[in-house]
Amino acid sequence: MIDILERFSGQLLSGAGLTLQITLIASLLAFCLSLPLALLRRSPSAAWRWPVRLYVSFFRGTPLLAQLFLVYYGSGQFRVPLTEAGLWWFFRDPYYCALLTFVLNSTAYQVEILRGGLRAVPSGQIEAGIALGLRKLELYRRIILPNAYRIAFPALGNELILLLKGSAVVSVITVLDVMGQTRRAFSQTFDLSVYFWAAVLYLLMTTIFVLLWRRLERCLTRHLHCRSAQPGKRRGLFTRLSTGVAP
Amino acid sequence: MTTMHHPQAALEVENLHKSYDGTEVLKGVSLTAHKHEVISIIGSSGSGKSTFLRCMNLLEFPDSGTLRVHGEELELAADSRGNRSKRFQRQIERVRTRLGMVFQSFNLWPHMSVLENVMMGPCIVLGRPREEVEAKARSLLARVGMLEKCQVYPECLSGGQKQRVAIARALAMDPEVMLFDEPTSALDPELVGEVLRVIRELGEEGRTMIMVTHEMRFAREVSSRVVYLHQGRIEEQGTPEQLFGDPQSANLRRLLATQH
Repeated sequence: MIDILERFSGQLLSGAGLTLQITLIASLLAFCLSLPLALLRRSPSAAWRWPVRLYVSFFRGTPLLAQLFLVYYGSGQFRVPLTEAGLWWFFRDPYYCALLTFVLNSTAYQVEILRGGLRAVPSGQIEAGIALGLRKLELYRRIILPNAYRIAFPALGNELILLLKGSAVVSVITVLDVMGQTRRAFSQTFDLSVYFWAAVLYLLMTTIFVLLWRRLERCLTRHLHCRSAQPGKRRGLFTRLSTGVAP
Repeated sequence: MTTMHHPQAALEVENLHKSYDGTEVLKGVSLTAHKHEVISIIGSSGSGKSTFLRCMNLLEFPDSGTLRVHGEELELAADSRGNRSKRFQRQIERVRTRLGMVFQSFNLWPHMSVLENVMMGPCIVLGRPREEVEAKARSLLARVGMLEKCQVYPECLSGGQKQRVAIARALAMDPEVMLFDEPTSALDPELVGEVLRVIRELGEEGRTMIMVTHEMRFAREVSSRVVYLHQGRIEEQGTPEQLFGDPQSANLRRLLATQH
């Protein structure tokens, strides 16, 4: 077992790098896209609400693997028009296809998570802002979003873990992430322990992520744990982001 | 200069109507608050008194009526709720900055310290310089006895302390009129006193205030005028002596009888 680890540790680690890279880029892009879509999802006008709703239910209601095949193999069907549009370089690369699929998939989940967070902001807090004469933009920036993201935070962490593990499906379309490297190593050795080491690697990544996320959450919900905000101390990035009256 | 002898309207509401799903909650209510007046609105639950107060700063949008604050007149109609012009929207925001609102459930923002809660309005809405706002916020917090808690988050405060901070937050905007929506109803009995003391002091300073309250004794002590709202109409109004001493309306007499 150990000798397998010694022999393939380089490949596995480079696979881990790729797994983390895909997860990180996809989740960040999804994070940016989810806010405007979640706001549209809550729009009073059905013409804005419905397209987002359809999009979300499609990507939440179908398997990630099917979506990946649809993007990767499906785009092959449209090779000519895609080449003409100058997009073929993107769709012929499995890495980009995987990234696109994950962004679309994770955005759908994050929209739903954020929608729940937005809905859970106590109406009294919003009213207090309205009563002071805050404009809509300021209301969102200073009161609604800071609270909605805090409420959504644990669920967002969960979604990121699912994405990290779900990213293993990219190995099917020849991307050499942890799973891809493991499959390759297995095909060379037929030693099942390489799958064990892959599992350890995934476990390590998710555990570290969970610990980090928990720390962040504690930092973001400091205000619920009844301690002084300590005026003299230089406050961290998240505190400054969290407070409404930022410099 | 305005004096008590030449009262000037700080807030005028005329013929306000409001319905929810076909049920008329306010059936044409008018009220003028002169400068330095303290008006208490009393009535049994469901009489529309909270709705009336919330209509004054347009947290609820009336179906019809006129609102006059600080020389601005707003003609309100149900159809202006949806498609408001930018100008009208700005007008509404301006009116709101002139009225300080204190809620029953405090509604402090939990992710900001006490000081930041108080500074938000003047900093963001009025765009005043931070140093000036902070100095003022500190003095207001001192006035409601909350200065030593200024760096604390609202979660750490008792209900009475939260409400005092909420009052400071409303005062920080230098409002023309303070509106109180049952400010002590969510408080434990032993915490009511500290909040009422602050409100009383504001009245003594000559603040114009309109207050929805169940605290009859308090209303009697601090009000210059008491308004009795019943089923969406003002049934009786007058000085506290008149209303509590010699109520004319049978409904009001019944309400007062249950309070003692």
